[in-house]
Amino acid sequence: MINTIKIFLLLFLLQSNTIAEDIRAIELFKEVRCLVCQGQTIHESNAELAEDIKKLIREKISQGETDHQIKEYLVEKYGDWILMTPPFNSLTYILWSFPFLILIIGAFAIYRQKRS
Amino acid sequence: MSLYIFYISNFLLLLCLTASLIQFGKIINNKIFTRPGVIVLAYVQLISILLSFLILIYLFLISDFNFDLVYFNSHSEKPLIYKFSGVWGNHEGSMLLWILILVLFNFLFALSRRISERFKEITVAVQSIMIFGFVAFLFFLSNPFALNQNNFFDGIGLNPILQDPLLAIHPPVLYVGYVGFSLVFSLAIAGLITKEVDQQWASIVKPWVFSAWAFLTAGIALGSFWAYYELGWGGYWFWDPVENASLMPWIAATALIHCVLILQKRNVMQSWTIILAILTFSLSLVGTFLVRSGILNSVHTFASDPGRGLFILLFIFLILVFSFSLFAYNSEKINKINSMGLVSRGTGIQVNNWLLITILTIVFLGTMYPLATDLLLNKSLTVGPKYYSTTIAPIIILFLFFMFISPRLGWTDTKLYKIIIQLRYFIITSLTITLIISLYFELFNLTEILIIFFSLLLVISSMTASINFNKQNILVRTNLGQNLAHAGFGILMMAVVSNAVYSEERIYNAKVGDNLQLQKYIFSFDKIEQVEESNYNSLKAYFLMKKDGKLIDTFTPEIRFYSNPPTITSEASILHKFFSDIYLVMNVPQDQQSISVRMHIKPFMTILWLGTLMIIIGGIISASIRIGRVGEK
Amino acid sequence: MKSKHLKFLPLVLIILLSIFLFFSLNNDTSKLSSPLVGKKVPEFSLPNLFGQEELTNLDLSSENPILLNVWSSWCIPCRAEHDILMVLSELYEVEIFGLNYKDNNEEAKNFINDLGNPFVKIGSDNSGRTAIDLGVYGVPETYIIANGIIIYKHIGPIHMNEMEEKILPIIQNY
Repeated sequence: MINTIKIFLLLFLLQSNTIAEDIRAIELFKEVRCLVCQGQTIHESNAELAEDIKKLIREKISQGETDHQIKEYLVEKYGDWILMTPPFNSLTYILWSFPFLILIIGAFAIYRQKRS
Repeated sequence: MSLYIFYISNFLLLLCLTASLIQFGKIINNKIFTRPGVIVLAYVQLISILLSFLILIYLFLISDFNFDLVYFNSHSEKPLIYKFSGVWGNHEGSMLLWILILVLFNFLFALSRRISERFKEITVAVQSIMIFGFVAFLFFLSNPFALNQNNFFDGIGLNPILQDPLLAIHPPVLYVGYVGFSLVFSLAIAGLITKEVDQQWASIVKPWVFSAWAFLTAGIALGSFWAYYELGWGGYWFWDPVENASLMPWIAATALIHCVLILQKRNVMQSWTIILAILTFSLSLVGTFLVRSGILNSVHTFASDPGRGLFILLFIFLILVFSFSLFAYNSEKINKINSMGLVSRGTGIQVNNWLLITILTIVFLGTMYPLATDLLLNKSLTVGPKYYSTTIAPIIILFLFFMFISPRLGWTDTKLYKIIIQLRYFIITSLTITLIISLYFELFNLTEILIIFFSLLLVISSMTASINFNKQNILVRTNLGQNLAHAGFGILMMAVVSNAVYSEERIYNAKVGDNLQLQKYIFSFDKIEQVEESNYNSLKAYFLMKKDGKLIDTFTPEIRFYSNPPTITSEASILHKFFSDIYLVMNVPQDQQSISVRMHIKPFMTILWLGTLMIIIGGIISASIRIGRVGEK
Repeated sequence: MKSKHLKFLPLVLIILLSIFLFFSLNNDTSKLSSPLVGKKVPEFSLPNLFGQEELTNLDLSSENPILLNVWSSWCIPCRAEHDILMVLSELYEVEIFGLNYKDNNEEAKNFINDLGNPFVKIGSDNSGRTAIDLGVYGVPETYIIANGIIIYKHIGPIHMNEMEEKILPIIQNY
C-alpha cells in the first residue's frame, strides 16, 4: 500500500516537474522575439526559426540552465533585439527613466502653480 | 464604361478640391467671395465625396477589375459583405472613407446653430484646408480610381484575416473618432484666432469631443476584440506600434475631455486645453497615417509606402508648426487667472491629466525608442509588453486613487480628512474584499493588490454616486455618464490585472483519441476533418470538453486555407463564460501524425469587455446630454 | 519669465520630432546588425556533406579572409546567389566554406552536382542548431571570417553589385 502511494507520489512529482518546466518554457517563449516575423514572439509564431529556438530553449531548460543563462545565450547570438523587454543598460537609460522624470516634473509644476 | 467612371470619379475629387479651396479663400477674404455661402460649398464637398465613395462601392460590388484597387483587393467569388467591406480594407479606400467622414463632420458643423458666424467661419476654413490637403493626397498619391491596362479575368482578393464582420465596421467607427478630433482641433484654432477660449467655447466643443472620444474608444475596443479572437494568440492587447498609435490619441483625448469640463465649469486651464486639442488631433493623424508610411512596422500593417509617408509627414508638420506658432503668439491672451484650491476637484483633474501625459509619454517612448536607437546608434531593440506594464502599472494606482477621490471633492478647497471619513465605509468594504481576494487566490504582488483595491473603491464609489443623486434630484442625468464610465474603467482595470495573473496556458501535440488536461477540464480529441466552404477549405478538429466525466461543450478550432490570395489562417474556438473564457487554437500540423494545440483559460474576459462597454456608453451619455444643454445657459 | 519661453516648447518639440521622423522614413529598419561581428567563430563540428572529414570552426581560422555561406537546396534565392559564389571562388580565388542549413543530404548533393561546387568543404547542419549558434536568421547568409574572427555578415543573397562593392573590397583590403 505504502509502496503504491510512493510510486504515485513519485509519478506526481515527475509530472509536476514537467508541468513546471512547461510553464517556464512558455514564459520564456513570450520573452523572445520571433526574428523573422514582424513584432511577434516565438510563442505566437510557427516560423521555422521560431520553432527551432523553442526547441533549443526547451532543451536548455531540461539541461538545467537558468532563464538568465538562456537569455544571455540568445542575446550573445542575436543581440538585445531578440528580447521582448529591453534590458537596463547604457542604451536604455532614457527609455526606463524618462517616465519617472516626467512624473516628477509634473508633480513639481502642479505644486508650484498651487502655491503661488 | 470603366473609362467613363474613371473620368466622372476623378472629376468629383477635383470638384471637392476646388470647393474646399474656394471655401478657404472665401473665409479668409470675405470681400472677394461673398456668394455662394459656406453651406452651399459644404454641400458640394459632401455630395462630391459621397458620390465618389458610392462609385467605389459599386466598382467593388460589380468586381470591375479594370480598376487597380478592385483588382488588388477583391475577388469575384468573395462573399458580398466582404466585397463591400473590401472598399475600406485597403489604403486608398480607407482614405476615401476618412475624407467622407471629415466632409460629413464639416457639413454638420456648418449647419449647426447657436454659434457666432465669425467663429463658425474660421472653424470651417481650417476644416476646408484640411479637406483640401487630404483630397489632394488622395488624388495625386493614392488615387482609388486608377485604371490598369490589362484585362484581368479575376482579382487577387482580400487578405483573409481581414474578411471578418467586426473588421468591416472597425475602421469606420475608429475614423469617426479620429475625424471628430479634427473638428475639435479646428475649433481650438478658431478659439486661438478670436482669442475667445472660454466657457462658451467649452460648451460648443463638448458634444463633439465627447462623441469623438466615445467612438474612438469603441473603435479601439473593436480592434482589440478582433485581435483577441482572430489572430489566435490568446491576447487582446499586444502593445504593437499600430495599437499604440490608436491608444495615444485616446489618452490625450481622455485628458482633453476632462479639461473641457473644468474649462466650462471654472474657466481655467485655457492654454493647456488648447495644447491637448492640438495634440489629440495630431496623434490621430499619426494613428491614421504614420501606420501606412512604413515607419512603424507591425502585425496590423497591411499597406505601407514611404513616398506617401513623406507627404503625410510634411502635412502633419505644417499643421503643427502653424498651430503651435499661433499658440506661442496668442497663448497669453487666452489665459485668465482663476485660482483653484489646493485640495479641490480641479487639482485632482490636473493631477490625473499629468498622469495621463506620463502614460502617453511611456507609450510614445516605447513606440519610438527602437526607431531612435536604430537611426542614431545602428542598434536594434525590441520594446515589448513588459516594458509598458511595468512602467504604467504604478501610475495606474495613483490614477485610480485620484479618479476615486476627485469627484468627491468640491471645486474650492476641501478638507481631505473629512472626505476620507465620509467615505470610510467604501474604504473598509474595498479593503475587506481585496484582502479576501488576495488570500483566497494567493495574490501577493503589491502592485496588483493596490490596483484591485483602488479599482474596487472606484467602482463602488462611482456606482453609489449615481444612485445617491437619483434620490435627491435630477443631477443624476448629468453625472450618469461620468459615473458609468468611471465604474467601467475600474472594472476594466480589475479585469486586466486578474486576467494577467490567472491566465493559464498549455501546449500539446495531440493525436486523435488523446485526452488533454487543462485545470479541471479534460479535452478529448474526437476527430479531425476537412471542410469545404465557398471561399476556403479548412481542417477542423473536434475536441469534447468534459468536467467530472460530463460533456460540457465541443470545441472546433480550425485551420483555413484560402486560395484568393493564398493564405493560411488559424481560427480559435472560444467558449465565453461569465468568469472565464476557454480558448483553443490549433497550429499547422508539423507532420501528419499529430497537431499542435494550444489551450488557454482566460479569466474575466467577458467582464473586461463589459467594463469597456460601460466606458463607451458613459461617453455617449455624456455627449448626448451635453448636446441638449448647450443652448440652456 | 519662465512661461514666456515655455510657450515655445511645443513648437520646438514638434520640429525636433519631425526631423527625427523624416530621417526614420528613409532608414531601412529591416537591416540587422549581428552582435557576432568582431567575435570569434563559435566552436562547432558538422558532418561533411561529401567526405569524411568534419567541418569545424578550426577550418575557418586561416589568416586570409574566407567566406562561410549558409545555404539550402530548398531556398530559391540561394540558387540565384550560387552563380556569384562560383565567380568568387573561381575568378577571385576566394576560399568559400558551405553550411548546408536544414536540408536533405541527397537534395543538397544534387543541387551541388547540378550547379557546380564553389565550396572548399560543406558541413551539413540538419538540425539548424549550429546556425543558431552563428546567429543565422535564414538562408542565404554569408560571413567573412579572418583569423577565426567574424569580420562581416551579409544577410540575404549576394548580388553582383554587392559582391563588387562590399564583399570584394573587404577581402582585398584586409
